[in-house]
Amino acid sequence: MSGGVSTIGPAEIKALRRLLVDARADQITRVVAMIDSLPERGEADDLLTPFRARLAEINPPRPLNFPRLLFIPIDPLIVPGPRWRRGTLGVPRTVLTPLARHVGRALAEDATAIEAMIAGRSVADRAVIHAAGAKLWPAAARVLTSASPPPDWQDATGLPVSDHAAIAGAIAVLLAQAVPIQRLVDGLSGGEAPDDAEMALRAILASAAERGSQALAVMIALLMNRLPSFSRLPELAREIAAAQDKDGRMAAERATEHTLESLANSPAIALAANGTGGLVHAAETIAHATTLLTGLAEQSAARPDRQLLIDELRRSIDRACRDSFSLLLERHLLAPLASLATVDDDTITGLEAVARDLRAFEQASRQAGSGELYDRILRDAGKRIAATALPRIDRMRLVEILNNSDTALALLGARPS
Amino acid sequence: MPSPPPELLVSYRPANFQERGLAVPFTAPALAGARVRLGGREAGGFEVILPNPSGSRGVYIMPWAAARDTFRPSVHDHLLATALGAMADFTPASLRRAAHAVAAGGAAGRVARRAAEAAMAAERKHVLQTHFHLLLGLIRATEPPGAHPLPPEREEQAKLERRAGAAVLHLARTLATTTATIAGWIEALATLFAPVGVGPSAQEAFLPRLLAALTRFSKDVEDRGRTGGEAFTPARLLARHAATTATFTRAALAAAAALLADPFALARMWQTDRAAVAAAVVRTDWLLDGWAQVLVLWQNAAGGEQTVLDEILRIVPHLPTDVLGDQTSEDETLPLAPRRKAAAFRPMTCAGGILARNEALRALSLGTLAA
Repeated sequence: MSGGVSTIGPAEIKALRRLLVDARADQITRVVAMIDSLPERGEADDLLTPFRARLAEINPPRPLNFPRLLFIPIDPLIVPGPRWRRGTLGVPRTVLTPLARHVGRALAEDATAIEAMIAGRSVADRAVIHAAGAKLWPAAARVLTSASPPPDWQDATGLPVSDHAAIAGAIAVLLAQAVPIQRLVDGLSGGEAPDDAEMALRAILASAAERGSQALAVMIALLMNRLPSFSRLPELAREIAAAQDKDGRMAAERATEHTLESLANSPAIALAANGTGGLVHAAETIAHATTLLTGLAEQSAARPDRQLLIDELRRSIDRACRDSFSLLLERHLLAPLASLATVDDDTITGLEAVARDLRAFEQASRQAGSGELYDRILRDAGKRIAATALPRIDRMRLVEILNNSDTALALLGARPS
Repeated sequence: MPSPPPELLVSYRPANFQERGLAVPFTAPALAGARVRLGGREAGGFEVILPNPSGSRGVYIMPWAAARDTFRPSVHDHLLATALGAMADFTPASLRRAAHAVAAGGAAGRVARRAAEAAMAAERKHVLQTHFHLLLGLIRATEPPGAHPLPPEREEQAKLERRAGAAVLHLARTLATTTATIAGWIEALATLFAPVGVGPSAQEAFLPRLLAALTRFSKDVEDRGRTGGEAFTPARLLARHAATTATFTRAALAAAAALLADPFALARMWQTDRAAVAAAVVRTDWLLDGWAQVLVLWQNAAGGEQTVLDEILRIVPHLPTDVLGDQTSEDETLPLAPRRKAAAFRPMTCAGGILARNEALRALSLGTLAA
């Protein structure tokens, strides 16, 4: 593990905080890169806390380091330190640095080898994350299961020593299953569930349930985020817990509450819907949220209060998305098409990629409502594309991507018999 | 009137290649892995054979009109279906040409368009090379030994043309026909034999290259089956199936190439039984039909071999019973793809993303052919 102390003092931190209040995206990116390069982030890390929402929006490239790799599997559960409450299912961000340091020291040479594997890589290097993570996460789980609080726990986290066991224990349960969870996420990335997916999920839940209902609740909350497509997750958890004479119902309820609260409090969806983090990020974020909400709604049929909350969340996502979709469509596709000077391969391929991302955004967004509005917007866009001077086949393909093949053929060519 | 829902044919063992149908590079997600064959009630119509999307055994067979109504084909697929309806014969080569033309029109995107143009240019080059080598063979067969100081392949252009003219005249007189007819035959045979390859660069032709790739695939998959653990158990069976197909293909390719050894015999056969010549060549093409899609999937697995293996098991070309003869039925040797469960799972992948992936694979497949 890297040692040393922060090379950035309180005066500089104060100055940087002032700068960041009104900073542009590129300035924030530079500050983040500077903090990422510090051997010991210390107080400098706190600088980022008020700007995490903007960070999600800007999405700057983040280098892969030991603490980041260690906690990637539990990222959806990490909450800002001040927002964390005892007994909830989140993990306070303030515990990450001392725990990572502790794991690094315990793993000694293994940690050095893992650091060598990830040197110079970024959080976008998924293959490296999977390979290095497969070595780190199970080992870290073993360390954290039996770990005593590190000496600097209270100073670094602001939490009493008595909180350590519950937090480290919960993280250990999650990290112990990080590799099988990642395998499931990868298996589902193609859009279909392998036959053995449910069996794998049962094994993951059973292993958490063995550690008690708090561990099970934390695991369900994590899985809801990582695998939003599995709508039967709470039901499955109840079944598994019942087999172990544990209260799975309560664990599933707590996980659902936590997930809904996180969705309600997270600025990520509204920011993503603006499109400033890119269309792909927007589509993925919205698809994740709407898929999750649809599953939770199915599981909450007997809970009118929860249904109301889910409906309200859906409406707020719907508002954010429908307000921005027309603007994004105009800005990213229709306006560039109208002023197109050349129709070379790269330009057309690029516009098709944009159209595909917009369609993914729309398909995710319509899960929250306003289906007819999107239909109308896309129909109008198709007509405008059909009327441009592009070669006919390029117009057909763009209309096909934004609408469907029938509309493309109806607007631009007779349907073959 | 909407088409009735297609029925699943659980036990499907094609008796011959025509019944197995042609692998067709549709890009719509629901039509991936489809085959087409002549048939259906409509005049000039064709049927679509779709592997069971659940991964279980069986296929859906339906007229194109029903597939069109049920599975939302892409614009590319609509145009390709129109081209299929206009094909003079239902052979792998005809479908390949039709599919190239549709892709070259840009229906599968600009990348596939460039790849199709390159593939078509490569095919034209192979036809020209084959034409040239057929003429060389004819010259060698007609000229008495020592008639010319140089062998035809080293002859200068003007003299070679004279020697070729004399050879064509000789063959026309022998077979009691005209030189124009012989020239037409050579042209037709060049087109027919171009995928088989002839002359020193024969191994660069389409079918020898595909066969070499299939052989490599078989070895590669067998290695993966041996080293990949339990999850890759089906790989070894797949490797064996690929090796069996390669063995049949090697024999068929050798038989087709053997026809070129005697230009007079070939010309006589062409004069009396054109279908027999065509069948000998087309058999190789039929044997390999559908493997190009498999190979492209495998070559681009990029670490996801296990998922791709499942995908391959859905579309892998089965050998018809008239090829297998007494050999073990593939129903007993080829493993099933793992079944897919949809009930508890809500897919987040956008259909547009899958279509784009299919188009990218189509471009790669075309690029492989042009290489």
